[in-house]
Amino acid sequence: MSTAIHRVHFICRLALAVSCSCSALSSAQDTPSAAKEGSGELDLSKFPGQVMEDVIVPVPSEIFSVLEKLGDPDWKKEISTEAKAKFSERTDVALLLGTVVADGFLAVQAQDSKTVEAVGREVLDLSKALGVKDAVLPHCNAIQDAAKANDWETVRKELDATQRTVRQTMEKMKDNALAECVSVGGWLRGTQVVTSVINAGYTAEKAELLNQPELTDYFRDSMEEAITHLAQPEKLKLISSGLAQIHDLMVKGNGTMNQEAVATINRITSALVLRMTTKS
Amino acid sequence: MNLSLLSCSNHRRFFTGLLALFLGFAPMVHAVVDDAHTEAMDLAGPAYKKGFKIREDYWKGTAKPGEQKSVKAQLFKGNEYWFWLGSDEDNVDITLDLFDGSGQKITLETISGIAAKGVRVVPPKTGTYVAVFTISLKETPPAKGKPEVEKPAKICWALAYGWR
Repeated sequence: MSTAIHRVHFICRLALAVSCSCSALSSAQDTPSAAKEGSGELDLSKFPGQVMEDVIVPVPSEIFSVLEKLGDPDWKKEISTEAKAKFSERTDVALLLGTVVADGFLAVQAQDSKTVEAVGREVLDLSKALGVKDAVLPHCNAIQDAAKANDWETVRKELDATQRTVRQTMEKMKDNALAECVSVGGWLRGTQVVTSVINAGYTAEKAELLNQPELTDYFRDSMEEAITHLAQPEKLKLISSGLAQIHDLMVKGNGTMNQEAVATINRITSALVLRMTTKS
Repeated sequence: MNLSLLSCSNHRRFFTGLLALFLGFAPMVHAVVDDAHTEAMDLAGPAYKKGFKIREDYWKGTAKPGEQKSVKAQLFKGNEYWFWLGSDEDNVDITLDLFDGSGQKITLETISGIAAKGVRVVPPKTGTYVAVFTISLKETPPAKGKPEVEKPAKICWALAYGWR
């Protein structure tokens, strides 16, 4: 309920702002406007914009780059050395793929070529299981080559391109829900790393990076949708519930979170990542 | 709404496909070039030279001429961003701005191309922002002795961004 209100409130505020900006535009270009000319009154039924529910999901590098500006994080310490489970169910594979790609971004940050090469191999294996191997193969090869050459910028680009290719290929295969699982897996692993780094040297400035309630809301909606037609609904329900808890902590923090809240998010994401990467 | 699935057809792609067929490179038609994204990326060069990392991923769709569209983005305080919007139609006016959750415009700088527009922002807070844009066809009279060119009912767009 609070989420819905938050979203409607956001849309209304945006509609008001857009209509005002459009109103100024309309005099010069005859663009339709939601506000009655000169009155500033808002008529939502005539709102010309379409507030899309889609959110551009950031790549982990975007957050990592801010953390680097704010300190000197020990990225190597965050690299996972745990063996990952072999899943056969596509929902499991998609979630795991997301975490592996996030591991790749982390390895780039740590400039760890061995881990990047391992990530390239894992991405290929998982893509095969998802039926998108042919589309992803060129990226995996490029990741391996760039890692050997310590060309970190190319590795980052290829990891980004891998996500795009997986998403687009899955959408073409009408597997949108699985594509969302990849995004969610990546975001949860990225957030686990970010919260760990913030905890290691907490400042309110760093904690502000976790102000992502709209994103968690978006992911929760996509998981709720996925529960209805993907396998492993129990795992998806668990993720949705975790996202709901994270969302509430973010909203409660009102832009900045205290260290306890950061630690709680770390615990939630760590548990979910464990569930996505192992058969525990 | 699934933005990525919206397909586009346009003159340039048709011409490219035709040319490929003519030259005997029919299989290459599968490597479809997204004109709108290409236009957006043409504007990204200066930012790239200044150290901006460009997202390989991008968002696309179609819009009626003059129709207002919005895409949400999670931005982080401490980063600087450029957003670029490209269109597959050349003869267009593009508006693009970024707003924060309270409706404040945060656009700091703009750059314009033939069929693209870019805006630079430095988010004052970490949070969700909205890119709002319109693509309108320019009113141009037909050349003398030539029939009026049919206006497209929909325009393909692509939104990309970079950060540093």
